[in-house]
Amino acid sequence: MYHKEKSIQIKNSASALYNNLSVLRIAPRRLTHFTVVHANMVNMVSASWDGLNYTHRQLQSKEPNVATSTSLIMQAAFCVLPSRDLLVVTSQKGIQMYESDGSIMVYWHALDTPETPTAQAVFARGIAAVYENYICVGVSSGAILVFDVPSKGSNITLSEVLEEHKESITDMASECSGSQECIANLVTADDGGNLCVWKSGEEFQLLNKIPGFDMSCSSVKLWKGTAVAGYGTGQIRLYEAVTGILHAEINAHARWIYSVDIAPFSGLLLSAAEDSLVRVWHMTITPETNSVEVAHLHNECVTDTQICGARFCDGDGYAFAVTGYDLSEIIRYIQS
Amino acid sequence: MSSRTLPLLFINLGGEMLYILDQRLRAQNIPADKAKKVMNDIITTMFNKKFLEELFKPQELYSKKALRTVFDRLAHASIMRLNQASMDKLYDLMTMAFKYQVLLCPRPKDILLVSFNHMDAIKDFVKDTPSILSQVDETYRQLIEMYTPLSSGEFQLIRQTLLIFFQDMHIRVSIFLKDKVQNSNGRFVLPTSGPVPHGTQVPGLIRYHSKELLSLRPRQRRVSVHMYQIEALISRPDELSYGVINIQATKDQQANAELAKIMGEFTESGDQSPSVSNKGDDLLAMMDGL
Repeated sequence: MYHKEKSIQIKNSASALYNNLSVLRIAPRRLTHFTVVHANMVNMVSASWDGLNYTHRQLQSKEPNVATSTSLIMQAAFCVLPSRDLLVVTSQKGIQMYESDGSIMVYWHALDTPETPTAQAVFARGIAAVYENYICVGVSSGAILVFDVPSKGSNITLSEVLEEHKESITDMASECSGSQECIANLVTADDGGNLCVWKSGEEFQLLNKIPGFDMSCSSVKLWKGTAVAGYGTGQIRLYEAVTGILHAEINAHARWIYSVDIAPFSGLLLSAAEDSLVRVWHMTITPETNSVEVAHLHNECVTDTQICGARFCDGDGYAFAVTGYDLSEIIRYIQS
Repeated sequence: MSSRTLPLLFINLGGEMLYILDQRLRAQNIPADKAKKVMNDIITTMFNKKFLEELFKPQELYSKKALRTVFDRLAHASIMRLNQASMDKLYDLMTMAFKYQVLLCPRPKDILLVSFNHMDAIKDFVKDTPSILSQVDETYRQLIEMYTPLSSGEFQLIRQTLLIFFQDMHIRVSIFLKDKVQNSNGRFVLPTSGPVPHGTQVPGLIRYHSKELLSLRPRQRRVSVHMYQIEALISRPDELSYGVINIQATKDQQANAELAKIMGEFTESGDQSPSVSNKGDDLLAMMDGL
């Protein structure tokens, strides 16, 4: 179904972090940006579609006050809003937002880090662009910061802090670019496997809380009102977001899942885990009849590698890319 | 990242170091009493009360250079002397061994079991010296107190912090190469077969929960959700066969009670934790081979 394509070499190896790959497709310029986190640095590669040009860029985590101590980056993700695209980088010290080509930093938000370290780690993790002009970022305390993003410029402001989760945020996802009427458009996940479902607005509204089973949810996506969540047990669960009804459980992997992704136009689901496997599934979701079906389509094994990032490169799922711990390349697969 | 990583890093690396030194002392036919003194002196320094107090405080990991200095000092805490080349080899071995253990843990919480294995071995080295033994026991207690309440997500953060520390280290170790757990490019072999960890199901099943079947079975109306299972059409590779490997039981009577309670929480048939005993002869060959 898929075959391996030429890999893209990156300047550093990928760190073992959840969702450690972000992809932004820029059709007008016929190129795709990829970002991979290595310790305190983000490796960015822009690949032209003809395969001839690769531009590299490295972004460091920001240290506004302390000159020497390192600040490890937890996640880097592209945020696509109707008016603009931004690259958001979250670390132990705070949140940086760049123009999507990584050229200029447009915003910095510092986290409240205590003078002496506490037993509870402090960091930001979990990034989502939410309709219409919000970027949400999770924090290790369980709080979710909602930033209001103007269509141009750097006048980004913190609009709200949502305090519902009690454990560290792991990932979050949104859907609804405004083209359809949606009840819920944001789902957030934490280390205890709990999911919160929200509706965006001047004041975000909590629609539902889906309890976890004390098993970390490391990656989550939202599609057709269904929350698709990957867990440390290797299981993927599909919940109807607004009601919390469990539609399906997939015993997908033999180890901790690090990434799930969905190709929204085709309903393809991508899952990747520490067990060296990337799996492709197909979901058929009919919200009207409440029916959900999942079919397993394809596997790829990346030998001797614990996979930490996997993303579709386009909305149809025609191609996908994979990163692994200690691997200095982005492996690509395209449909045969 | 996790501010609770340093004690585990230090104790596990220290444990590996002691295994290697113990074998080296025997290989060179150092008289038993001298060898014992060397081991006791190093372990006493390693478990120095004030040092451990500092270590257990929440903090970021030391830099690679700083940690190497700590172990340089530790290795020279006795009358034993190592030249630079030997110290380099020792440190490479220690770090690659622990990297291997961290990478291959089926679940992040298993890192704690690996740490207990190292602690057991250390206790065995000093079992005839009550004063040092009590220091070690106290540390054991602190480890249990600090780490058993942590969730699996918090352990995964610790594991991720350790993996960042070990990132890009691909030093080839002859015993790992010989046993085919490491490739010639220095990367470890990750098996894709074997038992799944406790809490994980063997991949293959897709289970649907549907309300629709209620209409077909009127007597089941009291049941709010009807469940049926569908075996997914996943072609399962032949290697995904069942096997059971039990966690090696501790030989030390003293820790049994505590460990039995903790292991009861972690252990179910099918658990696997990388074994670190019986490395004696292998380590010897390893040192010779480098």
